[in-house]
Amino acid sequence: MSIEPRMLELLADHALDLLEPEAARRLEAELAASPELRAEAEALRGTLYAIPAGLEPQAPAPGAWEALLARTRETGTAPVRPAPVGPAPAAARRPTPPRRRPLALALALSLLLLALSLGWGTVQYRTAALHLHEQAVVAYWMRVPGMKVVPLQAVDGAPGVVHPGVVCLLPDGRAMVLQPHPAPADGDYVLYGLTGDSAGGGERVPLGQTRGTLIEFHADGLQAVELALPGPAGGVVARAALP
Amino acid sequence: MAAYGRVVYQAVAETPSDAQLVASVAQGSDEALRALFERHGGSVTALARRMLGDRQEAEEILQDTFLSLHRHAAEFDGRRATLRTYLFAIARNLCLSRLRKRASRPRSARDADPHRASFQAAVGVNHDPLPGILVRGALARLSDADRELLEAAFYGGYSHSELAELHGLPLGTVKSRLRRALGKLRTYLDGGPA
Repeated sequence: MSIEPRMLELLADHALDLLEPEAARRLEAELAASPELRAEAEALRGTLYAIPAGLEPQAPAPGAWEALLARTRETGTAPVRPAPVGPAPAAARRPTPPRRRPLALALALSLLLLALSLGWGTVQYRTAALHLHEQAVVAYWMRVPGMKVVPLQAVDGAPGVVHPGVVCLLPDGRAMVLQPHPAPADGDYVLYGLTGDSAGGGERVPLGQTRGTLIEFHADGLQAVELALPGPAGGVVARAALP
Repeated sequence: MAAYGRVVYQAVAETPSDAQLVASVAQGSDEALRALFERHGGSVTALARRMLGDRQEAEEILQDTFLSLHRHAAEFDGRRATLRTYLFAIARNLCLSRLRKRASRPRSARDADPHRASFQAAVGVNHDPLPGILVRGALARLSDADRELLEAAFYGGYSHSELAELHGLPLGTVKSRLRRALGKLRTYLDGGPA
């Protein structure tokens, strides 16, 4: 079922808190009866309340957390959800018959677990390091005055990209492409720069690649950038003209 | 090496989500509340400061917002809204209550604009800046007139008629522009074309 344009207008007005009280009450009654309308209303509200996410975060005053903690103590603890009560799942209650494990099997399993733990720990460390590094880079960029944001445009039918992301440009020519999600499992994001428009016969030069979410580059002399994914279903997934 | 992207997804997924932390707050966990405070406190402060133009009042709104979260954590339903939306809604309502008690809004949005370079940003390890970048990109795609109107409605809490008077526009134009701006913003945040 599609939502009528008039209802979409009402939902937008509702999200913006611009309905008269009586109209708001009537609409809320309709929302209560329609999961589809409710989902649309919540999506619009989510859009509206995304706006302040564009503001640069402001550090709370020193001691703000301690003051909050003190107030939570004054006003009592949060409502506590009771722990689930009832019989344990049947599988958990079923007695497990004792099994004999040969020593060799136990040893092999222990070694395998040790190897997996070491490998996983290394991967986790590298992953966390990459994530923190990228956050630090973006945090730095957000503090530089004059940063421009140019949205990447998704190429029609491009697979594997939830959101095309943005290009951030600093006044001194430094730039970065930022994606909301890391590259899919089968390869890296690869960024190309175009030194001229398609009719002008410019060059297409590789600027960098990443398994994470951002690629830094220098935008001097570039007319546009293209973001690509590898593999048969890959190719250029998004592009942006640079100012 | 080719699987590194997937590994990053896994690691991000293993960071406690907002919903998991709120559930812990509902169980009485101070650590979870602190994690959420560190993750979202800076954004809530920025919103309150943008709306009220006053650092001290913004701090009070920050406190009240998280105190409300602490009290009502058990009622939070992550299927209906993100925690960020939930916190921003609480903070905005608190700010609007204060604005309505005042004779006027902050005289100029610029006076309270945390985007200005003179404001010192504080981005903690727990703060994820990507949503902010994406929202800025989406807002930048709106026309100046539409963006100003939408921001005035959101941050100033002006009614249709007040906006019409402030911007010198017919009432119907204000309504249609606001709806259009909200619709476009949604499309842009979803990664849609211009």
